[in-house]
Amino acid sequence: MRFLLTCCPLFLLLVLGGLTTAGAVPEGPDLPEDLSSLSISQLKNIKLSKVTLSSRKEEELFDATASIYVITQEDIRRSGMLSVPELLRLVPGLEVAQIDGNKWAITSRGFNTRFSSKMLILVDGRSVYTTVFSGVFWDQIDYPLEDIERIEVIKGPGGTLWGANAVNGVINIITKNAKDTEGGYVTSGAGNLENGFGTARYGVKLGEDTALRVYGKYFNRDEMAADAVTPAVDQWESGRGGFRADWQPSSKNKVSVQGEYFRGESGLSAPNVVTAPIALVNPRRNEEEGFEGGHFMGRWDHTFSKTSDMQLQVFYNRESRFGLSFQTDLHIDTYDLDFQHRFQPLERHEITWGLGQRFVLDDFKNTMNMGFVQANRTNYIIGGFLQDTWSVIPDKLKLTLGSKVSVNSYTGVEVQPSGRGLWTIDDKQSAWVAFSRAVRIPSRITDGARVDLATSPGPGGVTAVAALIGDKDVKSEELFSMEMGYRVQPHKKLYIDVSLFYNFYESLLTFEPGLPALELTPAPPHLLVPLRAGNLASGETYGMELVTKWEVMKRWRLEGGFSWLEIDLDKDWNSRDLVTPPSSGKSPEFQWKLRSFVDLPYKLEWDTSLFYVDRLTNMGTPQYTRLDMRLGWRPRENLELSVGVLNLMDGEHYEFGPVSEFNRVSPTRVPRSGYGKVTFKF
Amino acid sequence: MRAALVLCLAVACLPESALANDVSIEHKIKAAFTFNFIKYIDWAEKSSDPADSEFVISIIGDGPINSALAELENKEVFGKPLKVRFVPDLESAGPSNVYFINVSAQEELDSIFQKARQWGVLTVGEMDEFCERGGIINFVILDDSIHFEINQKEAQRAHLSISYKLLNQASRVIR
Repeated sequence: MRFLLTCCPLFLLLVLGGLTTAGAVPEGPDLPEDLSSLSISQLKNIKLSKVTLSSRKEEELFDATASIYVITQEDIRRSGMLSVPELLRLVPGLEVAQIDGNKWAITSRGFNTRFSSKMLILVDGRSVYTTVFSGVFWDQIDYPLEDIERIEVIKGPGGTLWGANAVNGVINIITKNAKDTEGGYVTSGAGNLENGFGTARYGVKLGEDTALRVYGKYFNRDEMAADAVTPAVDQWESGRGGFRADWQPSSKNKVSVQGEYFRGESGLSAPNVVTAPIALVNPRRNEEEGFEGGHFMGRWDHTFSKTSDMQLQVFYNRESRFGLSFQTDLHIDTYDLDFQHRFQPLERHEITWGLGQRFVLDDFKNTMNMGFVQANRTNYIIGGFLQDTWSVIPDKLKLTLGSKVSVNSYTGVEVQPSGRGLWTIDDKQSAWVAFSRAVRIPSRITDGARVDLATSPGPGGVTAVAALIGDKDVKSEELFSMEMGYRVQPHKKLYIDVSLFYNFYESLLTFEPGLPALELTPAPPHLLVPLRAGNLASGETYGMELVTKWEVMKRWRLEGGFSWLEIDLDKDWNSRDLVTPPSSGKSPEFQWKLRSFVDLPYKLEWDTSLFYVDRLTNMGTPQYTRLDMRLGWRPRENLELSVGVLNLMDGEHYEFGPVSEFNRVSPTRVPRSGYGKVTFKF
Repeated sequence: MRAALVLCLAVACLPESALANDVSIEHKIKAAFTFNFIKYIDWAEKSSDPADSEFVISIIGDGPINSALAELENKEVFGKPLKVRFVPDLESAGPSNVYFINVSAQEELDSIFQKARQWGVLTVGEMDEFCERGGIINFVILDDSIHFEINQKEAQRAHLSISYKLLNQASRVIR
């Protein structure tokens, strides 16, 4: 059965392939036969990737020495998805599981959890990965979806270029240049889960070479499917406003400035785990977690010559969370400076080097059940990298060797080298191989915090409290990775991308039970069972990812993805860890997806996505198939109406549950939902 | 692995009709742009005046756009029929209103621009630094669609006056 399920999309592809000869969809381009009848502005609006697969985007992909996937603006518009984490479902091989209405577990190549520590997330090069928690608060990552240019997703290590925590992958959300967003639009909609959402943007040209856009976005999402016992209280509400200005005084200089402010609230229903009449572990449920933050960023690009350029980027980021697990409040300020320079000292060598520094200032409000040794602290990471791209045989064989060396306040010096090779077989196929090392540095929690997990009746009627205890001697988790890939475009309408990987991890995080001790405060006296952070596990993961894009005909595109992942982790002989669930049961072994984009007559678009996700043994999640559908209508160039139905096939299902992770969030079920949306440009 | 096998099979079964080759959409769009540009330029001031009876685009060098531009043949501009001529190099180019310069003629760029300035010919290209080197209109791909940049200084040197409507649509104007 499992085999059948995994091979099903390919079978479907075959069947569909047969259908096309029968002419199920009318042939002929969307555009008039004679393009010269169109106006200049109409011509400028034609999207190349929409009409042909062999666009520049794929050509660039042929030179990449990593498993990379790009979500384009067209993909975003036609996905029917309404939030950034949901959009990531489009990436073949990425693990995207919705925990409840406002929380996601997202990673690539294993180790999925609410705070996936090994996946780095950037917005325009600004890291939104919270080093304090080693993860991402997905509920605060958002942007007007129409102004995202593309989302680049790299599966596999990227430590050499991006630094620490880019262990299993990097996601970079790239927003449009302000000069490409002239004019305004408003979009608004609602549905059975969406109480309402709306975005407004206006872009202006300020003089000859400067452009500015300002935007605002708000949404309010209802609770997901309720449990028989616990009502779901996972509603989600957030608003943001921001701007981006781009100034290009000459062809050699580009300056970009952006800023944003956001705030919101995420409901959560924590399970009631208290078994003794003691308020040690807060029996909270039905709470709201508030968040607020913003950033300011500037970037300068300077071109010296065709082979030499530099970038300088500075940002300040502030985020606050209120009423976090155990009612902790948290404020984080990040100051970051990054410099990069590329030049060609020798004919066949291109050197890229850079320097960067980041200071993270945090401030926690310690509570009875969650406390930090130092309630506020400044952490830093300072480093540099050097990379040489050597064209061994021009246009045929390219080697990229480099390393990042950085110093951080948790673990000291970390070296993250990589070697990559690209063989351009011909202009329609290429193969690559990569060897890399990457590290995940400890978080504030594993470095020095106490988090009470659960209480139970102990010996002699004394309550026992199990608590995670951070340890400043915790080391970085390490990865040694081997990857290879092959891309081919056997025909200009067909693109296939396969990657294989073998990862070996060392010093994986464990929680080692220590000797129980009697604690007198807070009263009543109780027994503390410490679970001390350590690095006593290692293991391997391996698998493959496959992406294929096929333009069946001008009006119909198909995209398929398949991934396979095996995880084999072991605790060291001296580890007595009982709480850390083996991560192997939190990632699906197989996943596949099939997406279809059909341009119907009368300016209608009909888009379908089918996702299959294998079961998650440790979360008790059965395998599921999810079907999303969108129907769009563009009666005029400046008006778009669309309706979407998400999770059409089953009434509701868990994606990361019903078992709760130890961070005590109750998973809820993803219900069937539908919405309508209007976009008007002016 | 089985999946890969099935996929190969799927590829082998690709219907022939889906594989029909045609002129690339990118070049069709660029040809349509070129046709549009003509209408936004005031040619009155000075023109090489091929023959008063026709309007001539000369394509210098061989390139993928040639067949797309050829489709413009005999369209009407300013009441005259449009003629498209293919010339392998500058030497063989006769009197023209527009030069479309293919990447293959890159070597000759400087002499082409010199002649164009002299005769008041609009130069259009699709290569890096075309405008910087003295070309008038260059195609660039931005955000997955085709845009163009204009070197207004060069246009003035060739006594071509470009309408503000067109300048406003350019992604970049060199003044």
